[in-house]
Amino acid sequence: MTATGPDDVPRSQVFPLDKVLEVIDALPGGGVVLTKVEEVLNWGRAASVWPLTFGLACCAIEMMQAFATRFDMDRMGIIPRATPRQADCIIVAGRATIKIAPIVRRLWEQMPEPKYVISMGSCATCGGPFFYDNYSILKGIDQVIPVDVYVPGCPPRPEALIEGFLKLQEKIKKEPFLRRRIVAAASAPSP
Amino acid sequence: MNTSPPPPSTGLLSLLDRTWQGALGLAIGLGSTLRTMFQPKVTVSYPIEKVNVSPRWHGLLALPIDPETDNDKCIICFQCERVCPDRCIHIEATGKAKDRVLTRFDIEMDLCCYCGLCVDVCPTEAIVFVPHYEMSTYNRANLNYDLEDLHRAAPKEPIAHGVVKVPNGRRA
Amino acid sequence: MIRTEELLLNMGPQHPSTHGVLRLVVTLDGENIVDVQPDIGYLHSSVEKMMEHRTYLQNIALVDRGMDYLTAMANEEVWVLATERLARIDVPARARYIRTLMLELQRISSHLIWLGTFGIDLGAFTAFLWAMRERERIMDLFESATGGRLHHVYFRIGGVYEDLPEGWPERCAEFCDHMTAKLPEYDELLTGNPIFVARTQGVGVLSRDVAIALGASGPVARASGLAYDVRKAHPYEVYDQLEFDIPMRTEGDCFARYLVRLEEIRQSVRIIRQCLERLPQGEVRGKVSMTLRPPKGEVYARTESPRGDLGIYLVSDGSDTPYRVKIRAPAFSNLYALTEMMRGWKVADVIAILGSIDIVLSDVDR
Repeated sequence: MTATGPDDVPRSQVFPLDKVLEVIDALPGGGVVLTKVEEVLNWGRAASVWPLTFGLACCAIEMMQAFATRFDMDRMGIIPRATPRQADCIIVAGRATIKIAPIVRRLWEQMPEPKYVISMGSCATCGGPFFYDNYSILKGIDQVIPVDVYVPGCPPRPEALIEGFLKLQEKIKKEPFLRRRIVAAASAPSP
Repeated sequence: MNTSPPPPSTGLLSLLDRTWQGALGLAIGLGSTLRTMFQPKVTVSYPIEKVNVSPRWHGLLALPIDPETDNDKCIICFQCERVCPDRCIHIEATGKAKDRVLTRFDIEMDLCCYCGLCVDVCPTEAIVFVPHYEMSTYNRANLNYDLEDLHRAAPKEPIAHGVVKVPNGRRA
Repeated sequence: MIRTEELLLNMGPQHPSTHGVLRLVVTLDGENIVDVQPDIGYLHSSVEKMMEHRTYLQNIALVDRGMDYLTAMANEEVWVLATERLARIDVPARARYIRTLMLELQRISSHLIWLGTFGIDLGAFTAFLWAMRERERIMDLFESATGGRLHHVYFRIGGVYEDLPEGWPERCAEFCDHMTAKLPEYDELLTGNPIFVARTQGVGVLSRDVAIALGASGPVARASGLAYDVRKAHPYEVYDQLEFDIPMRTEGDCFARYLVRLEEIRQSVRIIRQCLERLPQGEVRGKVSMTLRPPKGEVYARTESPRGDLGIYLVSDGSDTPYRVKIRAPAFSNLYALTEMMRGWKVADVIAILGSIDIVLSDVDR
């Protein structure tokens, strides 16, 4: 028994979450309960963003400094993971060439939902110094994957990267991911 | 010419020797790390505490307003546009010679590589660095600074020596 | 009869220990390595072509991020040296001492990062945290003098951009004392650690003849017994007036490379102290036009970057942009020796050997 999700990806329905959400939403005061549950879950998700460190070039060094002694990102629950299967977020740090673009896309697709992308540095944002006359650097990583937060700088200070993470945390805290499922299930074609 | 490491020698004496060496190495290493536990911490808890940035830090670019003329000091010489290695400065002006009026001064801060060559060549020190580095956005278009943004980015008084520590910053 | 097959293992471009986007295709027979082929080009930024369309001044901003990004000022140095030799520009004495000072600080910073990542690859997480803590001090020094933590754009053709700020020489001397006090801690943590020694001693031996044949340079060659350092062989800046030793070993294994780099940090501290004592007064920047047009000709300039022998071959056609720039990257030649070093070892030694060469993919791919 499968149900289709928002992107027409078949999901195995072990626990009928959409049905439960609809029932709760229909009860009087159910919307408030859902919002509160979302707040708590969003707080949990925002306080433990685990990035996949995809350090390509110079920005990777500042990212390493952000994980290290002085600007410890572990205090905010940010632990670098080496494999995309265990990561929430991918930090693209550095210039992406055309040769590595399909690999970035594959890594992003291997990450489980919900996933976010932080583009760190001028080169990942828009190509940077390699923008106007380069044959091998992508003009921004948002040509292959959708980006949530852009952190400009060449390279951005570790504090600037942490500020980017704070902005990402704000975005996560406002995300209505349970209510979104109700809307999507209501508008999805019936099986 | 690669050789594998020699096989470990057997025998009680060598076993005791290796155990002793191992224990000693472990003890010295652990002692070193335990000593560090009691030394002062170097961690800066951003955003609650911020580091003093040096006045030469290549942060955001700005065109400060000169209090005497109530305008920026740019003489529209186009030197910064010519020297920028990323071609991220776009200047347009109408009029001729001394009556030139600036119509467009855009800096694409997402292209900028913060090298400082524009600050180096400016003859009137019209364009300067501001020790500010918090500019992450959700939308890339926010990083295209036009003339008003550049005026606003400048501090009202001369750039002080370093950014003061923020005693109560935003909680994470 | 057991049928055995060789396994092709792909240590792909996304790997926590390949120091960037390097792909290694390892052919394994069980756990023994039969062959290793590096697949590079994942960071090719066509720097040499880009440099042909930028003036000599603009290239300083490009050269310190497009090539080896850990040693930005060493790249600026080799570029500025080549241009000054071609255009026959003199550099004031104070600028030369400041340049040497910055280069040696850059060497310590690069070796510290190598130490940190080598330790963390082999499992010693503490070494990474400590090395980064020391490196933050160097970056503070760089930031107060040049304005950038990683990319400086400080050198100019004919000198440096501006003079050192007030109190900087004292802070630098304080850092030297701090570094000398902290180095024994690294010895306690790593050099005497039996696990570290077992993983690196005798592993990945590169003999002297093979090192010369494959063009290895820098600490990789010096650990194999080749006594060649550009600072002594072809002195530039003020290296001929300073006293320092070139550390050398003959074993050629990972442990020897580690010891050579650790000793190089000590020698760099010694050079910095001498520079600070002898820093002359004077101006720091010669008068050079923004659109410099060197005479037609070609020049080869070489310096000792922390990775090895870094060189630039510059051809000028009289205009304000270079005609052709060829970069001799040390990490590229050192990576070439990887296949020789890895044959016959186990798959667990791949990371130790790769880490001990100290490559930076931006230098390999340019």
